[in-house]
Amino acid sequence: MTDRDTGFDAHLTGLFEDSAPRPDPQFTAGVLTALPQPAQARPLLLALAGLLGLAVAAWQLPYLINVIDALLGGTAALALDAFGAQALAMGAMAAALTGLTVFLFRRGSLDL
Amino acid sequence: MSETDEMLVARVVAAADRRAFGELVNRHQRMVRGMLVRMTGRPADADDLAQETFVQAWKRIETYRGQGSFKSWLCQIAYSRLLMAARKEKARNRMMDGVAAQPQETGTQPFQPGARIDLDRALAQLGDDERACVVLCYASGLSHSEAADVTGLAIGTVKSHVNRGRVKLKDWFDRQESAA
Repeated sequence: MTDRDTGFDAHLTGLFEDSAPRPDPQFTAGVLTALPQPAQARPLLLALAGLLGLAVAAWQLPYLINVIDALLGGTAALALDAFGAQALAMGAMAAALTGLTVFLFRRGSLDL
Repeated sequence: MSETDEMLVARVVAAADRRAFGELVNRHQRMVRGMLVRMTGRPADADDLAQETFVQAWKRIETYRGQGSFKSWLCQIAYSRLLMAARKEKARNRMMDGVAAQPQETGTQPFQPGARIDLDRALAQLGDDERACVVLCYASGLSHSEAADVTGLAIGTVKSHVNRGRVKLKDWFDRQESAA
């Protein structure tokens, strides 16, 4: 490649550079607006399904504790007596909801 | 220290981080819009295609494996959107034929050698593939190999398109210079 060729290459690159559109913040804003929004129904359905599952679990919890109690020889019954079945169910539900919130937040479906 | 494209992509993939994606758009919009405006010859159509390109990139971000540069991956999407638009008959008439004819001029602008209109006139002398290869290599700064990936052409074909296109452009500019 001759000096003349190299010079023309530089000239051509410069022409493209000079004629490229200027960076436009409004273009970026337009793109971000056009991005699909996270599905609203999906987190709601997930939350409802989770709540339903927790309600069933809470309803069944005393029976489960009885089974565990039978296996552990009375320890679970002590916990049940100390906190009550409802308090234990509420605790389990709170833990599950916390987990769901963290999951949704990490995947970007929840903007706090 | 500013994050690399790959780090920003990782944030987008992991948490659908719109701010990280906005930074990627800020970084690459000039290159993508510049490439499309030189290929279509129409800034408004080019910006529409550029927007579609970035939206498509957002939807397909998981498919970027970091094997090539993010810039090259974006060019691939942009080129594919351009071809899809060109395949539609109306879009073909509006865009590709618009380039093959003459770029629009306003009566008030004086002719300026080296200005945008000059470059668009010169590019109109090239065939579609020649123009695509020249724009990808000179305007977007891709290597011949990357341009081959983007266009789906063999690397040897890309090299000859770039060389032929370059010669045609040089002849055109030389003729303009001697006519002036």
